[in-house]
Amino acid sequence: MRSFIAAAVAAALLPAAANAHVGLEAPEAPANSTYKAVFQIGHGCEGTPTTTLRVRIPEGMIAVKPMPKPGWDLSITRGDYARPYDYFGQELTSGVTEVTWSGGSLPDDQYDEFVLRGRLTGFEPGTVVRFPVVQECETGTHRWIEIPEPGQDPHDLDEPAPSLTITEGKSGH
Amino acid sequence: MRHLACLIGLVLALLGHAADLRAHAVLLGTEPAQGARLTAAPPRLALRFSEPVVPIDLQILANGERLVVPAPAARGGDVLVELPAVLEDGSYLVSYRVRSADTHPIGGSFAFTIGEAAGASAPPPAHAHDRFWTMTALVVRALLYGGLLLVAGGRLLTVTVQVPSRITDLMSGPLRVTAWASLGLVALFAGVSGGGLVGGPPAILLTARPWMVALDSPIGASLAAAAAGLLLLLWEDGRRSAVVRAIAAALVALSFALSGHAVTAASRWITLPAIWLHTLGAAFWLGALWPLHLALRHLDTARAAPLIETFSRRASLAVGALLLAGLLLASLQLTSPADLIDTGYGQRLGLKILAVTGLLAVAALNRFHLTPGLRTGAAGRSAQGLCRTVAADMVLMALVIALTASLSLDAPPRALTGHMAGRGPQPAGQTLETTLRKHTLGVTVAPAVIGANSLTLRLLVPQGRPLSAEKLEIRLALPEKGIEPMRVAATREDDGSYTAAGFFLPVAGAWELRVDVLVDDFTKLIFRTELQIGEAHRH
Repeated sequence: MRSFIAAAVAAALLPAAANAHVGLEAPEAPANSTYKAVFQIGHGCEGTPTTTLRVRIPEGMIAVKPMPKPGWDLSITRGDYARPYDYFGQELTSGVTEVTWSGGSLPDDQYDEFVLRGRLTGFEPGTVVRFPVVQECETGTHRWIEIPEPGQDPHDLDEPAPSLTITEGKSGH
Repeated sequence: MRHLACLIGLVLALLGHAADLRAHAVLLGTEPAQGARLTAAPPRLALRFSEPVVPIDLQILANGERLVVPAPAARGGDVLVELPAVLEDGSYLVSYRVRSADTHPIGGSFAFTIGEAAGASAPPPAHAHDRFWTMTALVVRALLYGGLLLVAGGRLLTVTVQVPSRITDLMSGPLRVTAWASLGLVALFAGVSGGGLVGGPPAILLTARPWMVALDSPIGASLAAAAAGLLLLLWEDGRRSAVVRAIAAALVALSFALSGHAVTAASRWITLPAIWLHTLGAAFWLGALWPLHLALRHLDTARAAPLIETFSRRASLAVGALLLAGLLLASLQLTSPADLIDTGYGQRLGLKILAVTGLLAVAALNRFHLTPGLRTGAAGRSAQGLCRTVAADMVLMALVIALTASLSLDAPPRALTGHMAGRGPQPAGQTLETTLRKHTLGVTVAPAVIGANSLTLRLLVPQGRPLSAEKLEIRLALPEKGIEPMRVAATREDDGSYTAAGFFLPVAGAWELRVDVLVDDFTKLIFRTELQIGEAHRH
């Protein structure tokens, strides 16, 4: 019985991003690894199609490259990092801070994914990294940018930011 | 077995998530719309959702009470409530909770008003009967104060001063009648003050509820003391026991000290004896006026003179104690002398002080001019003059009693300071501050009682500058009463603050305030705090 509860609790907690909200396909990644962020869009806003998706790149995810998407215009905003990061011996001080896919149309009753890739660096295992996402539709906007306060249940949020939990890094990489 | 249980657990949990993957239903609109001002009562309520929903709970609140309405009917995404009777003019709040196909509950509230009187400045229906209760309670309270002081004082005089039997005989009948009438007023006051606490139409006096509520409050103890004192006096009548009479008068005076604003002051152990002393002094003074009036009219001057002189001396003591206690109480209830002009309580207290000054002037005239005259040659003229000034005294005393009763209309300034942001023209209300990720939100809600309220929000960035939000959403909910979040529109003012005015809070309690601040496209701060909304007893 205890394992039943443990499994239920674990399953309930782990895929927090698998709600009706915008989520990440892989909600966990090892520290200091290259991470492919797949944003899953399950619905539009108030029944209308999604026309724009904007993702704020969290501090500590460097060397980001978004994946182009047929039918969507891709635009990239660059800026300075809060501090320099080591990228395979090379010091990076600036990079992609925001990615926008726009000009497309994803109907409310269809599903799609938006992808970008980058290097997770400097995160301690257990850290929760959040990717604030703004989903603009023909009518209305969803801002998946809410972050739980300490002690707050993420499920209580209406529009939580997709989150990624950092796990123990692969040694010797 | 363990593995199987584990597997079932996982599958169930994942199924739950799978169901969650669908979008929640979204409220598209309501009829009447949030904040609508209608000229006529709507025949029904309608809530439109983006997809089919199942109603869980729907309540309509007016007057702080839940209206009885038929169960809501769901037709696809529409939830309809047929309203049984034509709604009265006033403000209404609808709180709903529905379940969408994905089992996700969605709740919210919206408010609308009906009729001319429902404008933003007009009192909401919570006040509709409040005025009746306030005014009725005021009249009953004033009569009760008068009756109690008269009975207690009339009896008290005979304890302290040797009163000729001719006068006590003249008084005993009317005093007994007044005592019985006061007993009736005690009962009536319980009902009326209970009615004010409960709210609702005057007809609820026909039910037991207002009486029960009043007896359960501090008013109950106070009225019990008054009733016990009166019954003791009636029982003592004819037995002529000075001790019982003194105890009964003390009990009656105690009844004044056991309820009211003065008792809720922080320094209860000062205010309680002070009120008791104040009331005893007032009872002695007032209760003596009537027998003196009788003595001057029915006794010859030679017999009246000693009585008047004795009273005069004793009264100086009583009035001294009364004034000292009164000034002490006034100083405890006011925060500064300016309150006498700025606040309703202070203004009435000021009037009372003026009337008492008039009483004192008349008393001084009696004491130092007319009373000594009784013994001299101009005895007849002095007696006549005294008779007239004693009558003037009684009129002034009635005015003082009415003003004292009216002090209960407003909370004293001392009681308000705890909730007030500042002094002056600012309405009474509540101010609080909350911080989140080094940002500060200052909230002022006024008047923080049932009815129309307004909010002022001040947002500061960590550096202390005002924050200009991209978007600001305000939601108010009262979970303890099952009132779902109601959205309130805010406008940005020139000074950088945000205000939301004229929204309606139908019931008292700890309302949850949630303010969603969009700092920039990707940053949102969600402030949560509690607003204490009180019963509407101030105007």
